[in-house]
Amino acid sequence: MEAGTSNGLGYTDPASSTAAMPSSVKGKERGEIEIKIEFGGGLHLLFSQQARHVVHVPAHVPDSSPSKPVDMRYLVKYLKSDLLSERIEMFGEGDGVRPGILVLINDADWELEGELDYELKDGDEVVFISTLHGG
Amino acid sequence: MRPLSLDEYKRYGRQMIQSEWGLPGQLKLKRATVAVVGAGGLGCPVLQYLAGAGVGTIRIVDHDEVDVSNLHRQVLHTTDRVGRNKAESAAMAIEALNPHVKAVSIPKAVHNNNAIELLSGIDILIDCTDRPETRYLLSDTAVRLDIPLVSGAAIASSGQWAVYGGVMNGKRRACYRCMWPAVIGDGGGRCSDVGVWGPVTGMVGCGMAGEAIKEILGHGDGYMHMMRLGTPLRSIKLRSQRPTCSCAGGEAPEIRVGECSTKTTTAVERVSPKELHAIQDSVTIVDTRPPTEFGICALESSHNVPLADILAHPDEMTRRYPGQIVFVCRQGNDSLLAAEKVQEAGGTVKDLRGGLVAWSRDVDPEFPVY
Repeated sequence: MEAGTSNGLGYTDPASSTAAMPSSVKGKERGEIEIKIEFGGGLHLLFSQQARHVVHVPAHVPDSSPSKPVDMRYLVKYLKSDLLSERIEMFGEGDGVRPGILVLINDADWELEGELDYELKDGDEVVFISTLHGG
Repeated sequence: MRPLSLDEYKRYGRQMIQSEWGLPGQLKLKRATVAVVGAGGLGCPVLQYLAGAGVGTIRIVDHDEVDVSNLHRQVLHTTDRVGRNKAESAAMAIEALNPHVKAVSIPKAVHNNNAIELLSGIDILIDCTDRPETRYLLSDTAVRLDIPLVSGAAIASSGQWAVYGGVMNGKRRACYRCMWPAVIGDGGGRCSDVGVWGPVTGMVGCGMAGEAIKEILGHGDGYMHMMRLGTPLRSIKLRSQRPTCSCAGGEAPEIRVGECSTKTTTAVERVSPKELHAIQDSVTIVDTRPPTEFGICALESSHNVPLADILAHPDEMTRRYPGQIVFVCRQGNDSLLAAEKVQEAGGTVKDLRGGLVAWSRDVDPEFPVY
């Protein structure tokens, strides 16, 4: 955990979290696609306090037969198992995400894109955001 | 007879000459009544631009008083009005800016029992508050009054704003509840705990004022805007009304707020500032604030270990500081949480009740409060 960027309860200074982006990842391997991930509204606290991540996932769901392109269902599962650093109940619900988390795929509400059934393409950007309250 | 005074033609000329505005647009503004709830970081720029543009009647609702810590972002208030009601202070500022605007200050808190009474008769409701409970109440009120809600929020260097509810192109727009059916965590925190850039509240407030004016002129669209200082603005099309939402006749969901509040698990001994002062030289003082805050001011000989690090490795604290530890923070919440965890891990701990704010009040008046 990055020291000193959080009071532990509230919100990390986004300047420090954007400075740390993107996450260091190994190069994309054959058969993988690259997805840009961003967490807003405080959700990055659940993901190593980092707002932006780049992840590489298989282009096709492993062991699927017939071979199925990787979709949002797979990505959300992957985020929960591989990227989430704490409190899964704050992010996930069932196969999907909790109500109150807005999901954007390439800047469009994922409701318009088929939600969990959306098939991911190399270079897609997926944003998870919750509402802010300060004023 | 001319619909505007000669001063108004001159005053509004630079906006009126635009094709989407014109004299008819200016008259729409002049006839409009809006309510701005909250005359703080968001409310000040909203009020400033709405008054400047010539919105006819502006109700300003705020029960709070101007504090010197508000002034870096709440730009309508002044140093000599510290202690005055914010609605009244803001009304003075906008009357000085534009005498053609009728400013009605309402120095009250909005709650379940008075929201309809305080806000009926308006064309647009503008939410510049800072608590989720009030935000949902204002959304429900706007739904009841069947008017659009302009709602925005800012914290640290991030912000969001949108127009919710009302009808656009014959379709009902999503209300605030449709978009945000539940609160996750603490909604990013509060400005007093986490901090906020003045210009960020200013940018969000200006965006909100722009949306309110577009609504009045009849040019409303359906985007939500999200910003973070130093990154491009993200704008997305708002979905339409959610059929299961309370605004469409569904049940209003329970609002869950603040899953991160401190829960006392084990009783930790708490000391007053004077008691700590007496034992100061014989204990280890651990300050749980972030290093940035520790760098602003700290007790002499105190050690800085941020809360997140303590929570991650509470046992490490007992190894590093085997004797008596007294945890301190700004107000005494984070330090209590740290003390509980370290006590559970076998440490000998105390906690400073009321934090450094209380220390400044009771022991050392020269210790800065921020």
